[in-house]
Amino acid sequence: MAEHILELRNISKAFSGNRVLNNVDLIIDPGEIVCLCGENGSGKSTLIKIISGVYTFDAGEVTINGRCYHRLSARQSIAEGIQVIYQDFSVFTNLSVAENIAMNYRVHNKKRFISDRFNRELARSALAQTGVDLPLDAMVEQLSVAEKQIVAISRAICQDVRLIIMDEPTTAITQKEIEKLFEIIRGLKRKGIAVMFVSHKLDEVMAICDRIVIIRNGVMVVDSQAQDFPREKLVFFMTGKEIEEEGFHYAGEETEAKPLLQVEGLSLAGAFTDVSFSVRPGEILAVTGQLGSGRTELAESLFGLRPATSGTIYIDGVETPIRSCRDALDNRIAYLPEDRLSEGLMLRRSLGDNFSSAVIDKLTNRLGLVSEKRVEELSVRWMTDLKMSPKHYTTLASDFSGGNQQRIVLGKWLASEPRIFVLNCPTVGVDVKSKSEIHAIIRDLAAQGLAIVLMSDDVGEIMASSNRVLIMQGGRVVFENDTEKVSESELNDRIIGAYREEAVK
Amino acid sequence: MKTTTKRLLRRIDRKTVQLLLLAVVLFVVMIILKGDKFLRAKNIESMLFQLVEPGLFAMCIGLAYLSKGIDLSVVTIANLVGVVNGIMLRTCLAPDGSNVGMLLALCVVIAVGVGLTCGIINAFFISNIGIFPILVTLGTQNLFMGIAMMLTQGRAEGNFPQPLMDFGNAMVGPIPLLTLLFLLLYALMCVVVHRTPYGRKLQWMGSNSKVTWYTGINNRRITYVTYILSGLLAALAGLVIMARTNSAKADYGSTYVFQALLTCVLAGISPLGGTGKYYNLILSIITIQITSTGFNLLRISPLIRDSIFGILLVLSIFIDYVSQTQRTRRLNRAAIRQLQQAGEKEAVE
Repeated sequence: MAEHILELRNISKAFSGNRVLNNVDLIIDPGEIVCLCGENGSGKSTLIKIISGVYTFDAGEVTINGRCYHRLSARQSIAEGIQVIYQDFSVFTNLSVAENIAMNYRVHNKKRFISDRFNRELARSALAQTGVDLPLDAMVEQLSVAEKQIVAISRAICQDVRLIIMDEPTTAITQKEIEKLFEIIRGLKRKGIAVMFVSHKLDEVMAICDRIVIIRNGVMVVDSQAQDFPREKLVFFMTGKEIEEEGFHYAGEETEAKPLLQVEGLSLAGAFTDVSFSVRPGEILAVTGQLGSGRTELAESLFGLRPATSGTIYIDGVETPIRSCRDALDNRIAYLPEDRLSEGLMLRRSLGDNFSSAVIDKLTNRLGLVSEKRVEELSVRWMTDLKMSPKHYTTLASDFSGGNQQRIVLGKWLASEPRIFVLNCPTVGVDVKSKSEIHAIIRDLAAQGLAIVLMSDDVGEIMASSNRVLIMQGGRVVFENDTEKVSESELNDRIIGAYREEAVK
Repeated sequence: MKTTTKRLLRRIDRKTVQLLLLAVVLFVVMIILKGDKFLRAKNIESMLFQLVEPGLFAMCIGLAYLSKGIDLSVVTIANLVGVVNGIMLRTCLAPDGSNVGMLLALCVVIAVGVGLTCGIINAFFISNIGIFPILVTLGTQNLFMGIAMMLTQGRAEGNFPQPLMDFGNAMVGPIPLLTLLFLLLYALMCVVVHRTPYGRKLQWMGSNSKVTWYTGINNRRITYVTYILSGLLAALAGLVIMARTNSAKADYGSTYVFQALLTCVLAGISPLGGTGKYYNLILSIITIQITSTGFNLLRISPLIRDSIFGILLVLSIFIDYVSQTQRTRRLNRAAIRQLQQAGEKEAVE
């Protein structure tokens, strides 16, 4: 048996006290096509970056081509023949095709002088291997997305590559281009080059993969041959709904309450167009859609971070322009951002600082000075309300686990007593138990009469914690219905744009 | 009883203890080496006088540091204030000195105006245009000095009216009036940084400006307030320099910026933003003053002194950096250990 290209053993990795990967084992053999699946925040990008030597791992060992590493640098990883093609392809747009393709080779083989002829020869032979013809002198910025990808692949194979890792290679290219890409990948496979493919799109995955690997909350949950894999279980394995949750029922159906938040024809140039919806108090409206669907921009626009360029927002039936965060806060709108660690939480500051950050102007005494006592009272109150294990309010936020950190961000906003709460993927990267607890908190808030807009990727989350769902695609709302009236699989297909009416009949 | 002491100890910053120890050790070392000269009342008095200017500049840079910025232009703002006031006094002072009171009041107005304008210029380029603070203030440092140079043709302004000199040299008991005013102002700034909503937001912005943005905190306003405060404090230092030295020069005190950077880093106010206690600054100011006076008494050349300060700065930043990375590494290891133990427990069950 040929030796493995890559062998990971017990790899663990943590960021500022939060573990992201836990004892991951993975083996990749020559000529294998492996698909790596996982939700946002499951740890798959961290895994890629560990294999490519960008991140150091905290425990475990990596064996590449029979050599064992306890510390792996990017240089070593490349020297061992591992190449990563990131989502943005990392190409130099201001250089020509030939220069881009030859760049890595030159850097790695310490070529001190640039020879245009050498670049072109190298580029020509690399492109020949992919079977695509690109003008060598064209500036890369003039190429299409798919062509840029070809440049990135050619750049990878002009070195002695053994494993190519592609991060979401099919998100931005057309169906025809995808087929072309697969052809190239199969060609690589015949040469004994292994490919690791990171993707969500099930159909594609099944068409090309030999093996499927699923990672969830930093743990490898599935490692199976593609033909043995029960495809209807993919979503289950990715989201891991082990704890059955009560569904959410909107109580106000009969009362015909007036919408608390109503949006009409809202547009933001380059992000979303003509979005309309309304949310009544007590309702949870789920907004979903793939990467680039415009839903994060919509959320940020509701909070005044990126004010909409046209359209109207009504709050309590009154037209209320939201041009800044100040406007949003004045109208008691809160926003829980997508990335807890970089956007929601001040990791190196205390619990009290984090809890008080949205309302600090109100926590003052008669002299206008911050009252330490009130900050402490506030922290203690939200720690209890959100069922966190009690800690002193000066404890640093980085000392808490992912689930508790998300509660801190929730608490920061709840302290501002919002009426409208926009939550963007509130349970990404949170363990299963905390996840269902956070869902319970959200449902509880709705029961208290808040209007909630829940942006989410997680179909299970939408099914369990919303009463209406809205799907966005390319900045437009393409679907809206009561959650009860849609099945989980229909929703799934609609999100990836694969839903066909005939399939129902 | 025990828990209350513990709680009290927890509230005391580690850096405060370190700095206090350092200051005491240096003080004792100076007494041993040059006790006779060091402890002389005149020496103590001149130390108290001298720490005012670098102290004010350290207060400016400390503020900028907390916001994850830097303000290199402070000394030239002070000089610009001195030069403009010097020219104004030279041209407007009546020969009989009858209008001196009004002119000195005008000096204060000019100082506030210059400080405010310079602060706004810095904040505008940093916040509205989005250029790195270090580049902006390096540029404005030269700009402000250039203006002062043009106004004076490189000459020093001097011979200020007597009331200003009297004010600059006044004593309240054994303590110089200027030092006393400086300490009051410092105490006020400590309250501003540690106890006002602005101060909290300043530290939060320095620690993670993205989070404050997503929290609806107006980062731009914080940046403006910070650089304006820094400009005003620097302008005040300009008045102090006039009163104390009876002169104003476009390129006076060029080593002050560096000394202020060192003071802040020593106090644990990290250039990486958001961390450090403003109230530790005074200990660090005193420490640096003892060192600098010590060098003088020991007849160590100022040339060597500068390079020793340089080494100290790099060293403190290095220690700061290492202790931070060590901390995160420790945290990560602990998290994984905890998790593995939990896993083993599960396996046993």
